[in-house]
Amino acid sequence: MIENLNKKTRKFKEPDYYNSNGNKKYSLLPFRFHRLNECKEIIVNEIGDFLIIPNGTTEKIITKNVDPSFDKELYEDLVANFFITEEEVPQLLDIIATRYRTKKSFLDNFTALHIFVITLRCEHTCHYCQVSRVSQDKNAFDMKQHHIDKGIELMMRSPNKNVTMEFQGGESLLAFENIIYAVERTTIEAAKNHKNVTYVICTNLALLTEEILDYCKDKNILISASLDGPAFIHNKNRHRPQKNSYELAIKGIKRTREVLGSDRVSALLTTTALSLDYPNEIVDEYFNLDFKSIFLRPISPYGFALHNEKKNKYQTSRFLEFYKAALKRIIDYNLQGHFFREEYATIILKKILTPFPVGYVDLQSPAGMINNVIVFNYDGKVYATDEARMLAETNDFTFQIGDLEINTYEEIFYGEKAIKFSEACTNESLPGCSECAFQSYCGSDPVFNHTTQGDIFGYRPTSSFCQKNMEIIRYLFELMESDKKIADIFRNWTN
Amino acid sequence: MFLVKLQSNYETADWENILQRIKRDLIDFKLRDIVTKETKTIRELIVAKAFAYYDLDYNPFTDVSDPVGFNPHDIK
Repeated sequence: MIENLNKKTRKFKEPDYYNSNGNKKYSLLPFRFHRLNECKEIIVNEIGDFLIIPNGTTEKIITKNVDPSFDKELYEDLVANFFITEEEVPQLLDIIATRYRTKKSFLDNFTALHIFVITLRCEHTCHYCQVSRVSQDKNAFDMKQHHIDKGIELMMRSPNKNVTMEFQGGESLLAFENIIYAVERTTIEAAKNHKNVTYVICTNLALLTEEILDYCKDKNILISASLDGPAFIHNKNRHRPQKNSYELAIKGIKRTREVLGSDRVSALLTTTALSLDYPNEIVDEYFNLDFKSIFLRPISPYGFALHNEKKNKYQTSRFLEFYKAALKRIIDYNLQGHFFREEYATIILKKILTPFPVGYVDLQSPAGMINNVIVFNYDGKVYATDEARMLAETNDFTFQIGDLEINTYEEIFYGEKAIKFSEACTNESLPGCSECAFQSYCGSDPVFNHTTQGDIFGYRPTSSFCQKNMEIIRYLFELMESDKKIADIFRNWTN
Repeated sequence: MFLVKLQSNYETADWENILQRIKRDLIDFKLRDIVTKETKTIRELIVAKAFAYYDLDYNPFTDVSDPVGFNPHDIK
């Protein structure tokens, strides 16, 4: 028989312990709130934990009118989820701090994605493209080998052990010999610098050959293709003189899957004004081609509607209608037993439902520019993001942060411009964002702010970035609350 | 005290709805202000601890017990 039981190790304390705080007022921990709809509010704390509560409850919490006995379940939820504390400094403060650090752990390793714009030449003339050129002059529009060398040198300087080398264009395959040069050189440098390198080629697949596929298989290169939907949308968006962009893309995807494997080729959708009328058709196209996901990327402002608030807002409202219709179609497929996810929603859901950060540049705070991605352009100039180099094609060089010919690693990554942009990179300190309930799930995009509103900080009331993200996040919460099956599907997407 | 004048740019406006939303927003911002002021220090503490470059060299003292009653300091 155990006589000297050490009661401190017992799971449960004496009953009085649990009643002792009955008359004591609690203290608030940092959180923000938002009205989800007419009936429900959401409160979200500093580390992204959330509670959905009836309208009016937030006021009750903040005015310290939640009673531990009368509102027992709510009170316990608030304490357990770090919205209130019974001590001035919560006992689990270190846990909260550790979780906060985890949310920001994408900063630990610095730049991962290095984009090499290997050529500006292209044989398509997509109407939404800002960088399209058709030229025989390789010297003018292909990346020089000494620029490739310098870009690789800077990539090796990244503190990140795992880096991605992504070849973009124009049409990358038009300069395939330079891709070979870059990959061979990087393989040698990566071994010296103990780096793991992932290679990606972004291509329209129109110029794909067996030799190219064999090389990609040998070097374990991923292919990122473009597919805007069924033929009538894709060919309208992505014009070729022979009007066969869709057919070539499909043929390329199928052949790439056969040679490299299904998981080595992905397709990216560019949403245009035409796309907005055909959400179901676009989703069905991806599903019928055996893709396991589709990325409904927000409509890009870089091709049109610059500095035009009304057109931006109209387009954003239309995009949101398109997005919700497409998401409904995707959820229907999942309810039928198929696994088919939407990538933008998955990125947000990972931020909501898991303690971990995501690597999507446009939804990070601090913003992914420079911290996560850097662009080495065909002419040797260095840009903070891919959109930044698109802006440069319209003679706006605001986000050009260096030159491979002249600048050192420190001058590019820690230079004056990088420091200046960092002031607008954290949504925790931006007006409008600092008080937003969805701050933990959203990000900051100074390039977008500058492009659409003329200011890197942005103005939230008329920001289409804000309008779009707030509504998508709100809608995802509403869907999860409305149907447990949808909540389960969403959790499955984050695994 | 502030006097706020509202003027519509359109011929008709749903004033009842607009006024209700404004009053609701004013309450919401007042509540946000309360939370911001009360939690300013804790928020700074969380961020400071999250990014402080140090290791914990002590076990945090707490009344929260191990769920299965295991006490590493009292193993018999």
